[in-house]
Amino acid sequence: MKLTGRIQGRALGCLTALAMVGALFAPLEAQAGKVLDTIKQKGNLTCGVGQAVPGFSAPATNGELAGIDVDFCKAMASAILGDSNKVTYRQTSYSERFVLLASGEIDVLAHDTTTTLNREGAQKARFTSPNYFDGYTFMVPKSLGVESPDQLADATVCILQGSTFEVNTENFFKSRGMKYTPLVLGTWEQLDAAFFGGRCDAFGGNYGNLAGSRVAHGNVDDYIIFPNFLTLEPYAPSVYGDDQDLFLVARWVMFAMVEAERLNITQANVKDLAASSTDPEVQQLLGAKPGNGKDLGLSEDWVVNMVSAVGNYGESFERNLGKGSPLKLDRGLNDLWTKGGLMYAAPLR
Amino acid sequence: MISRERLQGVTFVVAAIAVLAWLSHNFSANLVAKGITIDFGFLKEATSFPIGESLISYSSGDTYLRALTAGLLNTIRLAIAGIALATVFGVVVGLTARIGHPLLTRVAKVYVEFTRNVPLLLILVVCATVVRALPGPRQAWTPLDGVMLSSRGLYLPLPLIENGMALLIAVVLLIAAAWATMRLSLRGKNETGVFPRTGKLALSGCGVILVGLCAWSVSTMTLDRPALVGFNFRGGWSVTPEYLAMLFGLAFYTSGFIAEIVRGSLAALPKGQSEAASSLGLGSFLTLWLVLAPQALRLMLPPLANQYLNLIKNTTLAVLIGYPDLVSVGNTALNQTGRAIETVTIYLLIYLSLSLVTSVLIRQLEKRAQLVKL
Repeated sequence: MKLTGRIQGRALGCLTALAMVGALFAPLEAQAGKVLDTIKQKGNLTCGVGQAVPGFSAPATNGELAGIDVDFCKAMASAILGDSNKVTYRQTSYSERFVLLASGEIDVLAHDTTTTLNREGAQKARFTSPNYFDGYTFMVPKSLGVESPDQLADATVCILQGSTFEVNTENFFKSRGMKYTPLVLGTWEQLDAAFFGGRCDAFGGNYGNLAGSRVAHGNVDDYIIFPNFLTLEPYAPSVYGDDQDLFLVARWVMFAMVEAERLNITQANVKDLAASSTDPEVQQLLGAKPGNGKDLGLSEDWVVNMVSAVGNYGESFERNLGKGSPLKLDRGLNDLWTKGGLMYAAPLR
Repeated sequence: MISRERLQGVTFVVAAIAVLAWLSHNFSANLVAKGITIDFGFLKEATSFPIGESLISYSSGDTYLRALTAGLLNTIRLAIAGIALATVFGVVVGLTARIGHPLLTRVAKVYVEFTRNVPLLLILVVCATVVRALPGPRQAWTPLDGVMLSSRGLYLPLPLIENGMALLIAVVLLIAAAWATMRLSLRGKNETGVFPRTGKLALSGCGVILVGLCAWSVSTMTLDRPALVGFNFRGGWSVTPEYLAMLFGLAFYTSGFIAEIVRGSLAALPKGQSEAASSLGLGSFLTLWLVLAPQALRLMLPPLANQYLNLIKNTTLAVLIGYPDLVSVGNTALNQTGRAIETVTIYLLIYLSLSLVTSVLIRQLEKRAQLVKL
């Protein structure tokens, strides 16, 4: 079952790049700056998410996709359309994600994606503020007897294709004058099979992804993930550069989720607070004092819809990556700035 | 008055041109609207990623062109070895089916049905899993000193010969000289009926020098034995598990089809051919070698060409198990640069040329195998 799914996924994947080129032969739709209008018109948002990335986008036990990236898609849909179910998920490989975004096949890309200059400058993705701060590191079997990445000379390293990891790994080994052999594969499933099957000495990737793989594999105690990050990898959702209106919404949806946490607005109390709060910041955020919605071209209750659907940023984090999830990650860098983390929101006014 | 056929022809051409013009107009308009430009300039830029195995020296910092060339060479290396191995397997199985022994016939049949009816992807995934399940490098299986099989691949000792290049040139020249002498002597024999004495002398001279050279190089040869250093083996000659998995997977899958082509082409010859050969007193091997095989080859080549082309195109499945072929390297390049249209165009052109070259080669063979009117 899993295998057939993978085969289908891969077969589709191989065709996608071609299909995208093919899509360019289709008649031109008038759409410069009109993606947001199109989403409103058809009452649906297409969101590109990962294929099987625990904590970010993976099928939950009930068969529905869950993860912090999936939550961002839901937040977008509830802010724009008032309903978090009006999302079409498009699970894509790492290699295809920017092609899909550029060709307009997906409206929003929320796919554990690191913001880089090239992706913004040359590939025209517009990133919001990060929804997860991660860092690049290595996982090794305990039996290898390695205590730091500096002892990995001559190792075979499993790396994800189409990610920033290939370059990170190269930079790490090159800067230390060490040799290594890369084994590059396209999906986490293939990498897991290779690494846990003993094909590689080390598994290079971001802490959050490696922790997800380790949990899914089971024997958590047999593997070490080095806690020191070699690079900072700020994951952020993005939209394509030709619609400023959609970019504005995406950027402020992310800020609103963080701001809601700072103001202690939760999934449970958001409706009450919207009706009764006297705190001016809460009133402005939840639309009791109108203005924010109008500026973004949304209804004034967009934050209420959003938080009712997925909760604030902290709730989404704990549910998918933190204490409420199998990954059990600490908030760390992803805590609010008020608690020593990097998460902040620009003022929503 | 224009004929009906002519009118239809003209209409068709006009319609085709109109459709193409419409498509290319959309294409360029969409590119402009999306702000996408087509630019192959990235091929000259420096890469920042490594490639697992390469026939030419490549390291990050080289150009994308060199990275793609390394990938292409990996594809060609896999395709050539795959075609050779698939042909050997296929011919052996195809002939086994003809021997007439009930058990062997059945074994061949099971082999053919199994390889033809299991999807290639599944075969490759199984092959990759099997080679990766080999023991780790520290527990490598060592049947002979210097031969090591582990989940890091197959390592063999590499003979190091002093002045290897000079030796190689000398051997090539010797063989060329022997071949030329042979041709001349045979021509002489055709004219006079006697193999010329000078030819005999020259040939034995070549042979003696060749044997001497070989003996000398073996005596001075040292073996570079692979040894475990840290995590991995160094030295020796090696192939990766991914290459082995791809090679055997492709050869196994394709050999089933080739076996059927071999069996079918032999079966298609009139029964009288083999009966006539037997009545002349030829044994079963000579019947096959002198009478049946040359005729069957003519029937085999066109369908064989199809299988070879399929195998070449199937090498792209290497992406799935991590063998760095053209598409795997290209996908990384695509990702680092965002040049999707350019990269896909390169894929199309390269696979088209590989296939066309193979077709041309097979067609040459077909010409040689054609019936000749005497």
